[in-house]
Amino acid sequence: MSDAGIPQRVQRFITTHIDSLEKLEVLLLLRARADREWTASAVSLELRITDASAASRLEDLTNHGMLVSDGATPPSYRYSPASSEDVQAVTELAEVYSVKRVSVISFIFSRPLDKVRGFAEAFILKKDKDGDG
Amino acid sequence: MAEAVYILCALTSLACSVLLFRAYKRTGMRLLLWSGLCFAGLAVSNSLLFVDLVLLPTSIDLYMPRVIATLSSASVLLYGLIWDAS
Amino acid sequence: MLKPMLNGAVSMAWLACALFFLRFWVQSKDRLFAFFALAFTVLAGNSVVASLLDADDERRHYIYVVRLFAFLLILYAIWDKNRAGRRGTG
Repeated sequence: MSDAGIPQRVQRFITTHIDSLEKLEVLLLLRARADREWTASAVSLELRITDASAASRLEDLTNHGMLVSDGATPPSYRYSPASSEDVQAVTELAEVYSVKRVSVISFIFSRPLDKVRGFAEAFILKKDKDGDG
Repeated sequence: MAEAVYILCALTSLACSVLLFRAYKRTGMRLLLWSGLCFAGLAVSNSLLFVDLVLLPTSIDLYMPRVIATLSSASVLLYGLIWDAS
Repeated sequence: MLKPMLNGAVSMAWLACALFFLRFWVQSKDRLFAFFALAFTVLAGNSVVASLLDADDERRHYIYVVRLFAFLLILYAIWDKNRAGRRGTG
């Protein structure tokens, strides 16, 4: 469980919005190609994941305020975070991910699986890493 | 003896509160906010109990503030458990 | 009249919280929740007992033992959690 070198803001963003590697890749893809709209099948083709996965990630990211959907059937999505805080966070995230891929991936997988576990983990006094902010 | 116990209870509540708030700051999970507030309230309630027992004369009774602090703590925790514990 | 009602409300609230912790324990198998469930049940009992004893009753002062027990449970739960490390199941 090493998050050495991942800035606090990015950590917080990941913990709040990113629950899987797939979701991270989808988010970064839409951000890198913000010039166009993406449907689930386009994303699934690009990232080589299933249509259903892509659709569900896109839906989640929209609900979290990272993307906007045009509401058509099938819906297209565009990268458009609701707050400038988020824009900043994703920019930093993209940077860190390009430089410290393994750290980011480990961090994503070290998230508490659910809120129940998160409550229990709050009582752990020392973490396995050097300073958590 | 009772005084020492109430101080212990207040300190324990405070410690729990700090741990929970720290985790809330790190993860943003709202359940941690509510439980943090609950234990903070318990710290207040136990401190008031100590004050009531040790420092104040028997003519002054801090029961009302104490029970309100405790009831608020419990309500806040219950609210968090119902709505924010997925 | 108000006092028993408020104490009863507090007791019920702690019991409800204890039930949630009980459920979390069953779901996650994390011992911490079992201790918390127990601790909050004891706190609920503490409220009830406090209500039943009159202000002049000498036994009143021994209520603190009940409260102590609840908080010792919580402290033990935290200690146990840190001892077992991240896994903490059981």
